[in-house]
Amino acid sequence: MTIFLQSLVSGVLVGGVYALIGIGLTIIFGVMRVINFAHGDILMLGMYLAYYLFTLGHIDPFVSVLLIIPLMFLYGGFLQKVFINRVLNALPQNQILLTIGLGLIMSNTMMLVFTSDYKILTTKYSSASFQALTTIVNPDRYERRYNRGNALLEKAHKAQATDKAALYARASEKFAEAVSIHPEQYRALNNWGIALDGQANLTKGNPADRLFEQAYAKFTEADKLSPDDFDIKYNWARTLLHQAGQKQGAEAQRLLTEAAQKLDAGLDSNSDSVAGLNGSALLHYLLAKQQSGPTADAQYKKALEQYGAAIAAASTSDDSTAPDFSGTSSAAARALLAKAYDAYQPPFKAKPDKRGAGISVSTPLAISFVITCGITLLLYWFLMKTNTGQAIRATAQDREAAQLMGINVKRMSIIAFGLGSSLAAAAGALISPTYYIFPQVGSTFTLKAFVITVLGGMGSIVGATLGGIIIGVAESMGAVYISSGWKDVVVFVLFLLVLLFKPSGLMGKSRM
Amino acid sequence: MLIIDKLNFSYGDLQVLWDISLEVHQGEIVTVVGANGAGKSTTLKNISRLVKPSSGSITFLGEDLKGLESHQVVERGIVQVPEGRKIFPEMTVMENLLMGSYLKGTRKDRQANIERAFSLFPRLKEREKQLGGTMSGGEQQMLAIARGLMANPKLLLLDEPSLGLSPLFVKIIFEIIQEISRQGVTILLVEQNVYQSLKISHRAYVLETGRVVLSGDGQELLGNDHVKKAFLGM
Amino acid sequence: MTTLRTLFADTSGRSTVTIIAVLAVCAALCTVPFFVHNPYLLHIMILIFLSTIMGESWNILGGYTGQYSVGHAAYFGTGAYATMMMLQFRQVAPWYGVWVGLAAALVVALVIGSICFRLRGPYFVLASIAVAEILRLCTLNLPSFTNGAEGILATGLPPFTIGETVITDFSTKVPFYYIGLALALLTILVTWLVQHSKLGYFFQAIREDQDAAHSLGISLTLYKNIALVISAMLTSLAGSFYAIYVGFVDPPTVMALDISVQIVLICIIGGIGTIFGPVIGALVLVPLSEALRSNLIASLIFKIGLVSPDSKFGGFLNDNLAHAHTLIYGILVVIVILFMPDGILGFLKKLTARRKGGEA
Repeated sequence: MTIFLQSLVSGVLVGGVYALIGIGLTIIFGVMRVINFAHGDILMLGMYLAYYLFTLGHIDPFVSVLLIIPLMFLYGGFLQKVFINRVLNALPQNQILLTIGLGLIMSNTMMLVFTSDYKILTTKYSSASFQALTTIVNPDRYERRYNRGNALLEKAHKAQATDKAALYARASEKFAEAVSIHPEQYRALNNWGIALDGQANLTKGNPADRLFEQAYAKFTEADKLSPDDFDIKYNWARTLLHQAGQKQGAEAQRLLTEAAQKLDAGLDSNSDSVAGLNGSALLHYLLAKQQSGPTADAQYKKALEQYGAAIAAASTSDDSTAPDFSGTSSAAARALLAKAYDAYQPPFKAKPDKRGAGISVSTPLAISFVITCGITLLLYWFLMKTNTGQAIRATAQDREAAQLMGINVKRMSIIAFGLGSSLAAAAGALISPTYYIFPQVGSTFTLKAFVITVLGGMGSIVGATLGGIIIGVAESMGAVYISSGWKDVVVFVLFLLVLLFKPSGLMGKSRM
Repeated sequence: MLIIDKLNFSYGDLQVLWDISLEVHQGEIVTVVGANGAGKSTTLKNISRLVKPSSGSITFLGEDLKGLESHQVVERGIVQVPEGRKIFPEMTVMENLLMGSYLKGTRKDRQANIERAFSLFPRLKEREKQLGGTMSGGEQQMLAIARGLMANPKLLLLDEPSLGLSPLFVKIIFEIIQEISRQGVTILLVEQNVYQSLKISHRAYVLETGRVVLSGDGQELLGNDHVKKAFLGM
Repeated sequence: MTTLRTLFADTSGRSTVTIIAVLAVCAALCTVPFFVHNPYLLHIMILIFLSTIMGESWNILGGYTGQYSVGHAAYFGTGAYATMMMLQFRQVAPWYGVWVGLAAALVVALVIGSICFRLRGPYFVLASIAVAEILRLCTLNLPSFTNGAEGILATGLPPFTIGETVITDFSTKVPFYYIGLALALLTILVTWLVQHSKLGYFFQAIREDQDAAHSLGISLTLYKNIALVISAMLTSLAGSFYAIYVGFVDPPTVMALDISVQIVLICIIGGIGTIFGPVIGALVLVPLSEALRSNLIASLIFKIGLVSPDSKFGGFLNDNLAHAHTLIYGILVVIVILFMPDGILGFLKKLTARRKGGEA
């Protein structure tokens, strides 16, 4: 159920942008009866505009879309005035070929200017997501307990010292129940270990040691289930560090050594984790402090290395290299590390399960969906309520009658192509934070636009809106229930079925 | 008011109009009658500049229409109610009427024109919110004429307004045409219903295979032997 | 028989001249490898032959019958893949594999025809694209059958032998030159035969007015499918030839929408519905796009002194112009559609007709 809703929601969100692409194509077709094969390429131009406005002008794509819409309106109007208006009475095939040619020119020019390299527009929120519908989506028994445990863990972490112990104990119970339902869920085991660690930390002596031992058992089990998981090793090391804090001398040194081994093993596959590198530096620093002579120097050296790597990993720019502390004398190194780590506490770490309650919604997709809805509503208002909008609809419904009303249909065609282009480009800008940007990206979207408009009925705006959502959902369902490689096949088969059995589309013959 | 002088027109290699000359004076109802394919509608299309003549001139109020686009012809005050109604099917009756006064100069009279339309065709008021495409042929014809009047025409071109209508509607339509004429709108009517249209018109032209073969007073032509034989079956 | 009779009956003065001219050109083309040893020039000639085959085959369906398929990559890819799969997975020599490709193309064409020919105009165009895309995605997603996205690399061609005699071992471009030439002549001959037969008459009737043709008793389904099958099988031949010549196939190079579009453009730019239109298209497009691809145009710009190769812009041109070789397709098709709707051949004919008219 969760999976179904998850794919439904992401399908609808993507579908919103598809709808924008489809509406653009359908307006152009409705008014000119020309199938625009350059539609995807215009979308591609929108992507590039958004990309360069972001990298050069530091304008967020969700803001620059406001700039791109008028710009691409002018561009589309220019295309119509200079090229398309000349072939309005030509054979439909020649119109198609003209737009194919224009599309080829656009994509090849972009390739000429910006090369065919893939570009990625990375915003702060590009890979962000949030949970939605948490109250509607009913998690299963495991999920309920797991989520409850996580909530308790979170609460315990923030709670006053007096309440902590009880909260950690309740969290442990929940994770224990969760694990009894799904023993293979390593995340529940991992979080159980964290809860036990929390309890142990608040206790002393033998009871504490027993709890620590239990926590290690959970981490061992979790690590066996997911050997590549860095978080487990990190938490394990953190727990060992906590127990070492309660011990003295050789016992503490044994625990610290084990912790350092675990964490460094985890860092092998996850070498840019700032928390991990910091933790490792701390462990080696503590080990160094307990030792003397060459062994201590070696530990200091290792701690300095990890410290430098942590600084490098923490800085965001790609080309930064680890600061070189190799020349630092032992005393200076000690001072540096003491400053960094004497008061250091590794951050709380409990990554929630992906199958957590609610539906994970990609933030950029959600924002773009909201903007899409805004643009679509604005467009409906324009077409239904303004004189120019109505004149465009009139031209689409009966070109000759529109002329007899005194409507300048050539001008309407220019506006319509401008509108269609700006909608495609807006869609391009809106998806630029989540898609690869390259000159040939257009053809995929041209094909999608065809599918969407035919599905809805060529020339029908309501149909294109619906068609966009349907294709978005079909793709996302196809990707989940069949495979991501076959999702486009699903879309094309759907397309052919509609063409064969309901060629007028879902909305019938209705036009704009 | 409107002077057509030696108009020739061809669809590709096929010439359909040969040296058509006709005149419409202020305040008249002028009818062009003729059989199917005689070139009546093509003449109107040439006036509205939906098609461009191969030679000859069309002058309206002293201005040569040459070089104008269709929408500019409408701006000059020539409004055509096309054959087959050509109602905007996905628009309501009201929206269709509003499209009639799309031109900036006519928008200020919108309210008055809508009232005139509703008083001429009370049925349209009842159907105000109905989609144009869902109405009957007669209602669509009423809407088409009402829509044409929304543009404050000086000269109204009516292309086969009675085509395909029931006798009752035909009667209403011809009464309305006379009413519009009484309100001061000059009318150029193209019709196959020769008897009815000649009866109401001041003057008339008879078109055969793209040529004007007869012209004269409406009543006079009704009595003409050729017209009687060719169109009235007498 | 009718075909043969018309073939000989039609030898009026002008077509005799044409036939002699064509034979002379053929003879000249046959001798080219004796004079030209530059492999790059031979390569360009081979590409021209390939484009001619592709354009001519599409022409039968698109030009003569008026069915604008923008999905011919399906047949090109079918031929290419069938030949390569037989060669690499079953160790079947390409000259047998080609037949498998032809058979596969026949089947694919009939399936596609049964779907697409229910539709007309733009809907037919869209359906033809969709079906070709489905085929491409299937090829991509069935790695156990087609090797998926990796494509198939030919590890070696067996020498072509008759009896014990080795005719060629394919170590140079010359055998490919002759194969390409032969196939190009074959497709031109087929087109000629089609145009001068009843079949061609039916095809053109369908192109001019489907409903009228139907009311005259011409079976639309039958003749559209015949046109498609001829067109598809010839395109498949082109695909097989390409696969053997290049030695590598993968979905983007033999099945993508770009291929379908290029096939159409060869024909449109040259002149649609004429025998020599696609030849002209290939002659214009291949050298131009190759000149871009091999940076000839960039070096030309430097040589004229328009831009210095050391300048920033020059360096940029040097690096990037080669990637944009399909730009020329775009520019040419726009020019052709706007200014010469009958293609280059039609435009030339009109020019000469006007000159003749002027003299008379």
